[in-house]
Parts: sequence; structure tokens; C-alpha cells
Amino acid sequence: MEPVSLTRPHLEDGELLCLLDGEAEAVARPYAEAHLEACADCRGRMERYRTRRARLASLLASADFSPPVPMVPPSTVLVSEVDATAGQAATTRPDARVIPLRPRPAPPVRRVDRPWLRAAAVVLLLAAAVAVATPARAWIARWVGRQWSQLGHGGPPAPPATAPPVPAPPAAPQASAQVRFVPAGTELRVEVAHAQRVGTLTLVPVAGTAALAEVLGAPGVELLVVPSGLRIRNAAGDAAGYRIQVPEGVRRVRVRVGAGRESVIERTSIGAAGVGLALGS
Amino acid sequence: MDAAILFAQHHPSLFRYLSRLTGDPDVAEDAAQEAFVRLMERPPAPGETRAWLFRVGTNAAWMALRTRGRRRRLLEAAPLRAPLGDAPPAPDAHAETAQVRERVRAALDGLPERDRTILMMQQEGFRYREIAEAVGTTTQSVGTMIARALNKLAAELRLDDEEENGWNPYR
Repeated sequence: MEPVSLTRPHLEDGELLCLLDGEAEAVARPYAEAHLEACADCRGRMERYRTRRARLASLLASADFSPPVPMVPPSTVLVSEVDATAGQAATTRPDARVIPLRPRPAPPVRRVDRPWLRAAAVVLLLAAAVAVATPARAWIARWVGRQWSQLGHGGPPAPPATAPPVPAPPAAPQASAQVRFVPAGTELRVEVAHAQRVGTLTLVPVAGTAALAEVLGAPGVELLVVPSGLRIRNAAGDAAGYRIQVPEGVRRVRVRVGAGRESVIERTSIGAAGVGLALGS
Repeated sequence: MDAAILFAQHHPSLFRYLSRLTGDPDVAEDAAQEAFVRLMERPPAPGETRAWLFRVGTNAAWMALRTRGRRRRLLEAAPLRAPLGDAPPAPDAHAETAQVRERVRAALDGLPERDRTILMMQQEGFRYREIAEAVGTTTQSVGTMIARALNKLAAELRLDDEEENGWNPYR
């Protein structure tokens, strides 16, 4: 028995755990630390607790259940819908199957195509146009002209004189699918299902904790966030490009294409303009 | 508050904690979902999200377990009403894991709810103050309760035997 234990009581088990966990506010630290320094018994007990806990942690980890494919909270779905409506970057559902956003097809318009009805309307409006000496006559004449043309009595209908100019679509490639997620560790694994006939995967550094992955130019490719990182479900015939923003917490990115070798890219080696990996087979 | 980012940040550890606590991944997942739904309805103060989620998830899990326990007792009292058929056998590849799991589960189930909660929260890295708030006790007593739970598990799982005999979780 250590001499110190004869004059001062040994530390209680709870105090040893507090010291072990660095919980200064839960224990009279100066006394406890001084005692621990002098008392081999208490040091031994504390070491035993440390060992027990490490073994318990290992045992728990080996008996853990695999996490299920997580469901997305209802409110997250709502957030995604709001994002999509606002035209912002699309969903950030973790472990969710990401479906490229496409405009909903317009419902079919039911049209009654009866030539004799159209002809009757033309005759009536011609009569009205002759009778009415107002500015409406010009509009009626144009409408009649269009209908007459569609009945096969002329060339293609001329565009209305007042048609507004249509803006040209932007030239930059738009992402056909996106997913934002927070990588779980310091390594981000990217698994590309197949080598493509052409295509590049570009890694770009970004501030913050969230990664953003985008598919450029190939609707149908899916992005899935998995515990290890990102999985790209593509096809060998695809010609898509991919852009992944690598956040600050990630030290390296491991990219595997199909069954090929793994490429390891340190984040520090990625310049501001990014680095590209060819996906061609 | 970005729900998806919070979900990605906290769901894995919350599910792991709840499944360790309850031994039932279905209950764990339901409780985790419940916690996130409530998070969206009534978000806590900034900086307290993680502890809040674990607290709410813990309560939801215990409540689900109690309900399940009542149902099981009712079925045992009237066995003819119980569903027929055996549980599907575990594949060989998972037999070892299942064996370890069973043993760990039995040991954890031997702990009082509160001790189990404290121990599992400590395994997830919570501070004593947060643990104390979650289970309604004082910060000073958390260390004692962890020690008590560890002592009991050490006896059940023979955590101290490894150096002497080579540790074997299957015994």
C-alpha cells in the first residue's frame, strides 16, 4: 500500500473517470492529481478503466449495425422543393438517390380538329372584319390569315408582328444533377461505376465543410452519397463531365473508375482552377 | 438551418448511438427520424443541436422500447395471437458478428436505462455536463455512474481477462 493512502483516502472510481475524461469541473482536480501522482494503486485503477473502456469501444464497434439507407426527414424534402422552385442548387440529401431535375411535361391539350368548323369561323370573321371599321379589323385579318394557312391554303403561318424576341439559351453547360453533402472524414472516396468513352472528372477546392458534386451534360447519370463519399452511377457509353468541389476538411480524394486503379489526389495539390482526371476508357 | 447538412452531420452518430442503446436498428432509425422531425419543428439554440438531438432521440427510443415491451408481454400472455414462423437464420458470414452482438447486447441490457444512456453518450464523446442534462443528474455523479457501468460490463464481458488469457468475446 502506498504511504499516501494511509493519510489521505484513495480516489473514488468516479473521480478517476473524471480525470480520465479531463472533466475538471467535476472533480477537485489539484488534490486528485497530486494524489494520483503519489499513489500507484489509484494509477493502476485508472489505467484499468482506460483499458476497459478501449476494449468496450472496440467491442461495440464490432457489434454495430450497419446504418440503414437513411430516410430523409420530411422537412428536407420540403427544403429541396423550395430550392428547386427558387432555381437554386438542387438537393443535398445524404445517401439519397439523386434524380436530375427536369421540367414537368405539360399536360396534353385536347384539340378538336374539325376543318369545317374552322372554315365556318373564317367566313364569319371575314364578314365581321368587313363590317367593322375599327383597329380590331387588322387583328382579325391576321388571325384569319393564320387559320387559312393551316387549312392548307398557303405557306407556313407568319410570326406575329408583335412577337417578343426570345433570349438565346446560355452557352455554359448546366448541371443535370447535383448533390451537396458533408464528407464524413478527411478522405473523400469517389467511385465512378464505369470508364466512359470520353469525359473528365474535375476536382475544385472550396471553402467550408460542404462538398458539391455536379454532372455536366448527361441526364440520367445518378449521384449517390454513401458513407465513404460519393458514388457516380454512369454508363460506359456516357460522355458526361463531373465537377466536385472539395471542402476544407478533406485532406485527400481517392477516385476509382470502374475496376481500375485508385487515384489519390492530395487536396493541397489541387490548384485554384482545379485538377482534372480523364474518365476515358 | 440547412436540414440536409444537419442530417448528414448528425444522423450517422445518432443512429449508431441509438442502436447501441436499444439493440434494435429499427427502433434506432425511427427514434432518429423522430428527433430530426422535432428538430425542424422546434430547433434548439445554436450550438446545442447535437446534444439536443441525442436527448430527444434517447427519449423517443426508450418510449418505443417500452411500447414494444408491453406488446411482447401481451403476446406472450396470448401466444396463439403471436405471428407464426421463425426468424430468418443469419447468414454464415454474419454469424460471428451476430454472436458478438448477442453477447454485448445481453451485457448492456443488464444495465439500468440511465447507466446505459450515460455510458453510450460518453462513448459518443459528450461532455459530462451534456450527459448530466440528458439524464437529469449532476455533473459530479456522471463519473461515478460511468465507473459503475464499466465495472458491471467488465464482469459480464470479461474485459479484464485479455492480458491474462487472450480476450475472447464469445465466451
